Amino acid sequence: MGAFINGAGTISPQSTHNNEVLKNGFMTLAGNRFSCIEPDYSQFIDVKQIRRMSRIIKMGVVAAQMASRDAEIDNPDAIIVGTAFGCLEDTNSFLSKLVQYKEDMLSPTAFIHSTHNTIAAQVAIIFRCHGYNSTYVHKGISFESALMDAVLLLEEGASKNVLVGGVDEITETGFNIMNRLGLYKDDEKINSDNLLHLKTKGTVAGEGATFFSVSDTRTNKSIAEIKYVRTFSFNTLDEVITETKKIFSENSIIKPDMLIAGFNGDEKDDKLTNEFINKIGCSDIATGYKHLCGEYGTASAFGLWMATTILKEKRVPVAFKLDGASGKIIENILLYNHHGDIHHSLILVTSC
Amino acid sequence: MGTSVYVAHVGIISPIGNNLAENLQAFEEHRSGVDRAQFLKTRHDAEFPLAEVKFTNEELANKYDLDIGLSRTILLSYAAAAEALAPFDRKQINEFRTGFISASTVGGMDKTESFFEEYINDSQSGDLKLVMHHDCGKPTDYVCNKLGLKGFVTTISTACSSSANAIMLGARMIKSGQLDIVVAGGVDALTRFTLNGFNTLMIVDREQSRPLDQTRVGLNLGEGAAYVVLMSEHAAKVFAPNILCKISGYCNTNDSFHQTALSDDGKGPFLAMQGALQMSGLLPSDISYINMHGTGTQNNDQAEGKAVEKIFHPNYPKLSSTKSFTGHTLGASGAIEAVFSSMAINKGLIFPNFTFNQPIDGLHIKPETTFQKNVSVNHVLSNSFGFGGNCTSLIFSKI
Repeated sequence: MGAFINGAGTISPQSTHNNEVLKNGFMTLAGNRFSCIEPDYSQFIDVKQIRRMSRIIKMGVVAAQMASRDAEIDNPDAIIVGTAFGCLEDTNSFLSKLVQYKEDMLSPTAFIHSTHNTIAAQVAIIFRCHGYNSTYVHKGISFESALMDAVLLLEEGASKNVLVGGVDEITETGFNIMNRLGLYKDDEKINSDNLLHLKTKGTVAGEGATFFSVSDTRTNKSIAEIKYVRTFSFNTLDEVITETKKIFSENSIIKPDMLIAGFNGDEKDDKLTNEFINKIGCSDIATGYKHLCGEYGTASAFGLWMATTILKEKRVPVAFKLDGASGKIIENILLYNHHGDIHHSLILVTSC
Repeated sequence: MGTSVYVAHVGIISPIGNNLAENLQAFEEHRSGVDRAQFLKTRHDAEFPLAEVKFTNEELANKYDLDIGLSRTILLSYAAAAEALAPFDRKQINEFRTGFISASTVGGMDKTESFFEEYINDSQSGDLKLVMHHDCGKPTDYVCNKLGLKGFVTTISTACSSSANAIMLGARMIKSGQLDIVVAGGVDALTRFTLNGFNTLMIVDREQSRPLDQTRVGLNLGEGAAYVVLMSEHAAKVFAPNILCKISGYCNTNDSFHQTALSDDGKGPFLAMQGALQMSGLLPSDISYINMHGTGTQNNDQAEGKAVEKIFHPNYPKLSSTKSFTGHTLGASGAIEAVFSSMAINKGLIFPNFTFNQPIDGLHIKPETTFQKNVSVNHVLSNSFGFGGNCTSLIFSKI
């Protein structure tokens, strides 16, 4: 018994949906807004359905199908989604019209699709899944909450195969408001190569849809095993570090082979990430991922996709050109992320 | 299979009362919270009655010593969560592994609506302080921090079953041995967004709603918050000599049929009730009372009624929809009804429908019409279903 990742699908600002990224590596993205490279949705969904779906729903539903195809499991018995902001475009559309037309002449479509659980619901309909279904909406730990729930379901024996994912979208309005709140850098020369080295205030906006097909038993498709997933809120960094050391000893690890951390380029956020990494003695094996996908509530799902991709071959694909992991065998990876020093998350994954 | 999960205490603020005692008093007096809109600023105020918490934001903020600029969702959430935790020493609580699991469908939408009044004319205008409350996690964080809780924190949003799922997750985390004490529940405030949204679906009643009645035409929207304090056996021994009840079953399913409608035969609701019964090891005949989801819409009451019949026919337990008193409080409804269910067991109560005249054609279910006390209530089934096909049933049992 355990929690085994048997397949993954990710739509991101990189060429991940077609796996070109494995051959050609990560592209350099410019600006403070990294938008997804989207697949041809008609390969996955009925054209009539596509027309009714907003971008985040299409991305979510198709990433779920990609994970399911990758794992060769088309009958998941549970669906769990994390999304920090949910279906922002539909929300914006209904809200704008509501204000503009003073609560008159509204149509239901945008409202129907604006609820946070729309993606999980659409995935359930596509897979005809009557099993467990939930949606987590808690800021930067939305995906980790979903993943933790998935592992718990498998441990309980309540489910055999779970589709679990993280989805968030950039919208004009969302970007504009968060930009006004000072979340993003306004440096014109910003790009994915220099983001983590500038040491200035702000990050870049990102988005993505990443799903995993996870089972309670190891199969011949198993890529990685989730050994641990947990979030810590309103805890001190020292409490998180104590827990991290406990995880290492419980899993007979002196030091993980690689640490994938949520560096986002913001001076203050990264200072805390560095403090964590230094205190657990992992600064020489740490690498980031948000410079490749941008910062968003469920970016850690992209981080986990990167970890599973590495664990599949037990080494970093040459094309990835990542710091801290040149050519050596990688059998376990710790992922660390924090949200504004309030929420921390740890995920430990090992190769199969 | 793991520890039992106990309900140690509860907190509630709803359209029929600002705490537990006031809520029970309203049932005693058979007083519905559905009334002409007084607090939500909407052009539909004369058209649709609402079930509002009878305070302005300012009054709520003053009452609970909170910042007046907070979203109504935060104010309501704090009121209920503070009542739930009131009997317990916070420092002592934090020596255990704790969790705060909340739920919401609107988050700080009330403030975002105000922000948009200016924003739609000029994307550089609008007070940013208003929009910082937008996301559903914000009330959870604010209240958690204010109450001095830490550890495991998250927020669930599965439409109208949101807070039932928060309670279910809390119970699962205690059962699996990961946590000892969890404050679980949910909150939603009335907003123009939800009122207009439900109005476009043409499922809002222009009068007091009539759930489970043949003449029903829709729901009344409501607002509120409720939380239950869940404890493991071990924690309950330390903190709560007077446990209210235990959670003996739960099940989350999906109807997998339509984004906003349940299938005619209520497959999702049927599977949720059946799963919760299976987990509890109880027979349908063991259930003393069903707190129905009972929104008052054609679709929900038909589908839920069919599913109830499939499980219970021909021996029906007492049942009712307390939404005829509280309105449909959306993300808060599962927790509000969990509070009523806990009280049904602890105090031997049966909650009524506000009105009932005519059974639904082709169905045999008939809701109770009077508030009953000193009844032997051993097991209560509480249903919460929602958009997106999300269905959750919880079973509360006598210890």
